[in-house]
Amino acid sequence: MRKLPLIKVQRGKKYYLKMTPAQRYQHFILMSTFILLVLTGFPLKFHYYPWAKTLINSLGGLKVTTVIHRICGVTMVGLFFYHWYYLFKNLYVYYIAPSIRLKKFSLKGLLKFIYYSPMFPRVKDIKDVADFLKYVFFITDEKPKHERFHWREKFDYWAVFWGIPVLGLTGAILWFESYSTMFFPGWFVNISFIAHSDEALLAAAVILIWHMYNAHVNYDKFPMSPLFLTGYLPEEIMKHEYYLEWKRINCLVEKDKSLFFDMDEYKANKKKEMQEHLLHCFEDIIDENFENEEKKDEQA
Amino acid sequence: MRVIAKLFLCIVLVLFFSSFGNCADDENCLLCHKYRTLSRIDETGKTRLYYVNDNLFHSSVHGKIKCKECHSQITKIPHEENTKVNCLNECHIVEPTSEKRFSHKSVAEVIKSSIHSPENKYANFSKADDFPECIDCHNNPLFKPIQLFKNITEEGQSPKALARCNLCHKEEKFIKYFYNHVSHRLHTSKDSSEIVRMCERCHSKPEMVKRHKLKNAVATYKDTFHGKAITFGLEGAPDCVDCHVRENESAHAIKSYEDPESSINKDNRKKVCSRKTCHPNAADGIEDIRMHVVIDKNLYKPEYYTALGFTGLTLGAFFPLIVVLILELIREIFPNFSLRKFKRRK
Repeated sequence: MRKLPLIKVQRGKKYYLKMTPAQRYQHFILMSTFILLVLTGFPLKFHYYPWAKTLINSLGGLKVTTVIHRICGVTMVGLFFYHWYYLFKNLYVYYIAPSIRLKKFSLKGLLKFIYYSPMFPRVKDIKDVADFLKYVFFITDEKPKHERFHWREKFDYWAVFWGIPVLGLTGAILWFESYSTMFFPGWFVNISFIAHSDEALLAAAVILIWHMYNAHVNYDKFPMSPLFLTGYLPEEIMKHEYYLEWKRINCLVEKDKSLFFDMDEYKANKKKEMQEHLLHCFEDIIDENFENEEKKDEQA
Repeated sequence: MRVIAKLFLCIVLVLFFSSFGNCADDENCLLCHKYRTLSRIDETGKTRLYYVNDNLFHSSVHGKIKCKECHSQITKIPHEENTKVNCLNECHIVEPTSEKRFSHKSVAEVIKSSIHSPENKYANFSKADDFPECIDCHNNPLFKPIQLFKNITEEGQSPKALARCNLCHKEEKFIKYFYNHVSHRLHTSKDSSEIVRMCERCHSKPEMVKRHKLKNAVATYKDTFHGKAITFGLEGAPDCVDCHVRENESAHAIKSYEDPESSINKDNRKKVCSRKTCHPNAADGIEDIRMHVVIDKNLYKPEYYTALGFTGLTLGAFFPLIVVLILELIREIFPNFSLRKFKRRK
């Protein structure tokens, strides 16, 4: 795999790596399926509003939206399974394989590795929340110093982690209503119906208000944080919100200069190379022409 | 002057007689009832319109029946007050199979055995006023003829079929009337959303629902996928009648769910769900899926606690987040104000 630079410099500004391409693609699939699921699902939940019919018709009617909803649902559940694979793969690549190679593998070490993995809820998060409360209640003007993912992002992550199984399972029960009574009592289909729609409402409310606020409307990110497109965060946001991560990356880059990539320098070099190349070509052409003319003169 | 007066008289006479020429009613009711504004305000303050659209009436299912056969209590002009139409009247049309005079009496007998009759033993409340009469559901519908050709069903009369009729029957009017009579019965005269709206007229009335110790059946139905499919115009989605009426029976014979003969009685329900056009592969137990769920602690316990749990979860997760959001926004308005200061200022 190509090693990504931890810091990129572009137009004089430093950008810090936060999301790897794999994570970005996962987020993109999750985002697009989520939007389509909301668009095709919510008109059914709020069927008594006039916009519901318009929305369903604009997407091609109920026959089309049900298919879209199911395709997106299956994709999202597929993504969930892929994410499990991704987690275990990382666990293997970054802990199990190296520790076995160094003959240091232990269960305790494994649990410790999981505990300190970036998305796992930790005691530090409780401290961060306490620091945050101190900050918002004007007790201190020091912002909490977060690591790579702070507690809000962890909340989003675990909400989805719990939401997809609930929605996927209840969705499958509702999809295969003829067979689901083979395994569950009748009322289970009814509570699946309630759970599916209520959990979806919770997810949509959290995403549309909480997540939109954190990633788009928040005063230093408006109109959007470039993170989900590029995977990099500008230095001011990184320092402001993820102080410890900012420090850690700086430390790593100091040790290993190959993790630092100056786009401006690279571009300038490329430009220079290009110009030189062009100049050479140009010179060659001029020389050739000059020689040709000389030859002509001689012949004359 | 005289010439003008004669001309005016001529015009008036021509107009008067020409209006006679159009109407084909023997009883001459349209002499007055053709006027679009023929109306009065009755004792309850309602405007009542007595206008009869001749064309519409003649293409309705009762188009061949004379006015007086239904409005039998009317004998003089001006008419008697409070004359009600009795649908069980025998009219002058002869029912061709029995050669007896036609009447809707047989329908009334079926209704008597249904839950829509106050005499039914499963009725929770038996005041006759609360039970539907014919016109509560029927609105003298127009014939909706259909044509079937190569598996395509369309509105209107099929010229191919009419051509076959023409071979033996000569009178065009009769052929078309008979065609409509038959093709009208090949489909339900109301579409699904019309049926839901019809049932809603009584089953969604809060005071009526309360009197009969029922729940708002239509609202709960509309919350199911069945109801939503109807709302969004999916063809073939089940309406009230599809489940509550036994297969191959008339909608007049709707029974209480407690009645062992009812289609939605616990023992018969699976048969209804697993009809060929619905859930043909349905497993046992599909009959236990509840179709009219109300969030009620005593009636539907699992549903109640699920809804309660999710409401708690939603409020419990959502409101703290909103509070955090608002607190943070307020904090950002006064970035430099705090009790303890750590930031070193330049």
